[in-house]
Amino acid sequence: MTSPLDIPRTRRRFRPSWIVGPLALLIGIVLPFVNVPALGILPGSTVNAPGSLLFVAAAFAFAGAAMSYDIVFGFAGLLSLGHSLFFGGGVYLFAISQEVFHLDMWLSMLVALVFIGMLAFIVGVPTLRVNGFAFAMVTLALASAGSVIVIQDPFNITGGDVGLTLSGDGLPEWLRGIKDARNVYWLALVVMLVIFVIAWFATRSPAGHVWEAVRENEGRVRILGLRTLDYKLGAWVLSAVLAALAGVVYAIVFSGANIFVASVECAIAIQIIVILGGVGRLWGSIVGAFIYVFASNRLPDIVSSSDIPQPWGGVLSQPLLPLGIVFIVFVLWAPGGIAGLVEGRGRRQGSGGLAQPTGATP
Amino acid sequence: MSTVITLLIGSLSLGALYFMLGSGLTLSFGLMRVVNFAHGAFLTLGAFAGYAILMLWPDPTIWQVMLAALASLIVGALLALVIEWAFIRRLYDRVVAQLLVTIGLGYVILALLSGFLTDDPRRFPTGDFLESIVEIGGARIPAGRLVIIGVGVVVFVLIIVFLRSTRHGLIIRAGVENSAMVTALGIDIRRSFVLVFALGGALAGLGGTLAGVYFGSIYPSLGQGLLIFSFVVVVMGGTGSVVGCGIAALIVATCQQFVNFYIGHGTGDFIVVILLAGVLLVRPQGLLGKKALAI
Repeated sequence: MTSPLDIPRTRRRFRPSWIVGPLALLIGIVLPFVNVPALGILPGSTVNAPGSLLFVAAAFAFAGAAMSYDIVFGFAGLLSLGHSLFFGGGVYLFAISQEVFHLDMWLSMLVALVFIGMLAFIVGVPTLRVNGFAFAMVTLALASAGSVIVIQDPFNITGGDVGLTLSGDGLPEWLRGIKDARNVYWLALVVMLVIFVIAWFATRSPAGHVWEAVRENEGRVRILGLRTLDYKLGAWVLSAVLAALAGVVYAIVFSGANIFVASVECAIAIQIIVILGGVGRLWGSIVGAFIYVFASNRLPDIVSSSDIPQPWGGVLSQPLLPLGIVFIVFVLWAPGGIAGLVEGRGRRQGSGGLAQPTGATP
Repeated sequence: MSTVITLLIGSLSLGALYFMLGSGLTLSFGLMRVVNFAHGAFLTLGAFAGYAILMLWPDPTIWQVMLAALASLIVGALLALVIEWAFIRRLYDRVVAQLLVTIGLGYVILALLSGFLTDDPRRFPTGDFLESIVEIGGARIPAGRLVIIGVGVVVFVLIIVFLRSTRHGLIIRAGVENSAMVTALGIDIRRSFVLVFALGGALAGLGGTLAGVYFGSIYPSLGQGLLIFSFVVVVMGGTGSVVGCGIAALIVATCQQFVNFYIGHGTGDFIVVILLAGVLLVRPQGLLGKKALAI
């Protein structure tokens, strides 16, 4: 006998991501064992050469940074042009803890995460009150100032123009040498997955729904009685800490810190990755990161080793040229990014497009 | 004392540069909510155009420098018109998309310049007059700096006169206050916007030649560095307010110059950011902005 409570359970429609996701994960895990020629796509001679693995690990680090940024940009709708402050900050704090203060790896990691979290809080409290355009400019100015401080190196700890190199003393045995490229690779993979999972759960939590609501119409959320500043601050700090974590991975993969990671160009790169991959779709950032790392690292090498005459060769080896053009094309005609193109736009209202920056209610 | 004077003159001329960039930005944003991150490219291309003109003579006179300035002004305006027609026109009211597209454009242009012209700084030949030294209160000031200040003041006055005393200026001021109402009154505000945008481009281009005089050399990323602080100036002064932009430009430049010199290079930039955050906390619409920026 059926009761009114016997609501028939609808079956979830099968989604391709159920297969593609685990498959990609599997490929990611076994990549270091794949002894196949890399055909110029990866820097090493084979797919599992140390150079190739580190290249992929670098993409993982950027993917982590991009996913963290997607939390504030894609979900909470906050356009911040200064995410390099947190990502680069994580890289530098880790490197400084290792090289200047000689802390061990885990303690260095903790230092990076905690300090960046505090920085995000201190920065966020005044600046999150301001709306879209002004907020973007303040974050840009912050990242710019941070970049200058790193280069000028007033306390003599950042290594200035040259950056810091990790001597490896602070790293455990299994991460030190070239032969341990596999372990670095797996570490990067694991951290990227951790960031993905945290971001995934955070954006699906009740707080995550509030973020999306704030993105759509902050005034309405306020009228409903919620303190939007608290929610924005939460997204902001979480995003910063995850970016710092990605930064720690970057430092390990690249064996140090360099001035790029704290620069405005890096913040723009993260922005490009998120747009290319798909705003509001976390896995899109992973795809975007691979495109970016390929374009900025491999493309110049491929161009310079081919026979394109100067000055065209010089122009084409500027990574920002193809990236910038593709970026513009995507913003104009495919604002949902690659994820949007794959999933078909319109499937997801609101998260596929670019939301207007939320205004502070007058 | 002479150090203070040198720093002060430096601040005023740097402020003039920021104002040249910022005035166009503040009017564009105030009028049509348009953000143009490629504005730095206008400055850079203007600088290179001026450079190309100046390279025609081994020792440029002041008239030839003025010719170069005119060339950079025209180049800036033309580039602005092209970009407005090709990109901005499709993106009215989509602030995020504009910001991103113009960021992309800025970097594409930068990449093209770096690729074709290489990143090496090129000495900007300013000629004997501008490089001559003037003594003020014991400080040795290059005449070029004073000229920049003069140009800045003249441009400021001209813009204010234009806004207050011409019909176009009236439309622009009204549009900044309430563009919907202006359109409802039957005035095509888009044409005024194209004028404003082209004007901004021209000023940025002129700023390019002035930047060449100020720094003594030019390079492809010249515009980007100045642009960031120009945005700070625009936000601090209040979008839509030219006077606010001028005041903020002076504040930012002075703060940068003095703090960078006395405390440490880079600290000035940091203090500027703190200043900006402070101003926004107290007055979210900027110093002289009309309303809280609700986009």
